[in-house]
Amino acid sequence: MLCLPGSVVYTCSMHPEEFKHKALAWQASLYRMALSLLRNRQEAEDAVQETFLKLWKHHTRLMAADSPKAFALRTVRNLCLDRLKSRTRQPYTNELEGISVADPTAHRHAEAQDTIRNIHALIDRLPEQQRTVFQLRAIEDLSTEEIEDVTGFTAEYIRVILSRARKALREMYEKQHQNGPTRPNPAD
Amino acid sequence: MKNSIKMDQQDLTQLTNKYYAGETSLQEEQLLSDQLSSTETAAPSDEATQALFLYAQHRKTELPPASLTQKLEALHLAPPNPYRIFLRIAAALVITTGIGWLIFDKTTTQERVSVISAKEITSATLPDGTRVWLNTASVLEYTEDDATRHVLLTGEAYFEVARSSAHPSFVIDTDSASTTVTGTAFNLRNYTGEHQIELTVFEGSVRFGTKKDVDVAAGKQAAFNRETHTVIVNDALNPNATAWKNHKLIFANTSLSDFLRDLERYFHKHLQLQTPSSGAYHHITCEFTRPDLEEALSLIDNLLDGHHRCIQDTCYITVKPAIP
Repeated sequence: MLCLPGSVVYTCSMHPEEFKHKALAWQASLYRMALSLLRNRQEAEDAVQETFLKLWKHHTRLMAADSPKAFALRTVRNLCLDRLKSRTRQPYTNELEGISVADPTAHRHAEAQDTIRNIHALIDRLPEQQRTVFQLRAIEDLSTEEIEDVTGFTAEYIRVILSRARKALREMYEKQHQNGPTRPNPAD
Repeated sequence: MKNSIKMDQQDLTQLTNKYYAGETSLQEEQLLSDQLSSTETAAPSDEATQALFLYAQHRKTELPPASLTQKLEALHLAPPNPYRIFLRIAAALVITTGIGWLIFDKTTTQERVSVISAKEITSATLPDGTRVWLNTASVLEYTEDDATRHVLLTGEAYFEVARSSAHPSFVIDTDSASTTVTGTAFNLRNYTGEHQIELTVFEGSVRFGTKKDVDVAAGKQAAFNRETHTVIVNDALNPNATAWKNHKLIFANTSLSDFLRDLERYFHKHLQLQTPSSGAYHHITCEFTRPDLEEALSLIDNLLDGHHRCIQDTCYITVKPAIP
């Protein structure tokens, strides 16, 4: 057998509460990913719940993963992509409205709020792969290896996608500002 | 933490260009963000970049909806089987055929769970006696219930399934397709990011698919398309299906595009043919034992008056074009 002297205990089955404690720390990231893909708050919440159940079922694999957070994000992404396949596109609503912020004074200026909404609307125009990779990097602070884990893309492809996404956002932003700053239209 | 040292405009421009080329590290992106957020009036060329970082900072502080937290906290999670105990075995102690590491159960209870996670090519014997070789970046989980042995696989593995009277059925689940076998040898390739799941059967017979299963006999290959959920069976066996395990690549009058495809899979690199028309035109016969990418690409250069250039994970190959 493979259990040789000198083996060290790697991971035992976890208690559900211990799992919840660990997994709850990722809920904001999982929800952001789900919302970005599904563009519907209720569905995003359902997808995160489903993800939790799936992660619990495979929690030994989750804990054995190089990056458990990347494993969790890959799970939610795959679940959302499956959900998207089984439905037609929902009309877009500006889901950034109403998202609560930990520090409400952080970006209190109306101008900053406008910029944030504006960028959010621009990101929404990007193709799915660019949107996902941009967000995993900019918001979730994932390394290239972790983004590889989540998406299955190669490092070189991630670099290309990231470059395209950033350049496209800059171009759209500058184009808008050549004609003077505009408020994003939630119906875009 | 804010960086108090102000970069000069030239360095800032250089870093910004690197950012838009997708080449900055996380630390460099933090530095760029700090530099731009400490600038009251950004240069017009930096405004868009500043806006992107402002947006990211804002979204990082978002809280998930309270309703979601409540639902997650209230989720009922069934307690796990108390007998599952996993051990990590230090790679140096167990590896006979590869590097990597294994996790294995040590219990002899009714439900046994084993997880093997391979960073390098690894081989192991499952609790039922089945021998398995795992390709790089693959994870395999094994459980048994009353009559069935279950394997969950991501990545690629070669199986020599042992017969078991206690658990006669052996089922492999991937994220899309199922494979049912009864004592056989086969290779299954299921990397996320590839559009199909591929099965190559060497001995016995394998049932493969989702709703509409297909029986695949020895000496045949089958591919399950993730988009259409259909299985296509190919009577010709690719001799390189298990090259990753045998470290041998064989080409017999193989088209250049198929040749490059097999090299891509073996070396986990992207090989981009810059002269697409030549892919189906040129044919190659050769064998490589313990293949080396540089050697294989140099051979193509010499044979087909070409040249190649590798940048990170991608190699660009140019050869003489097809003769019309």
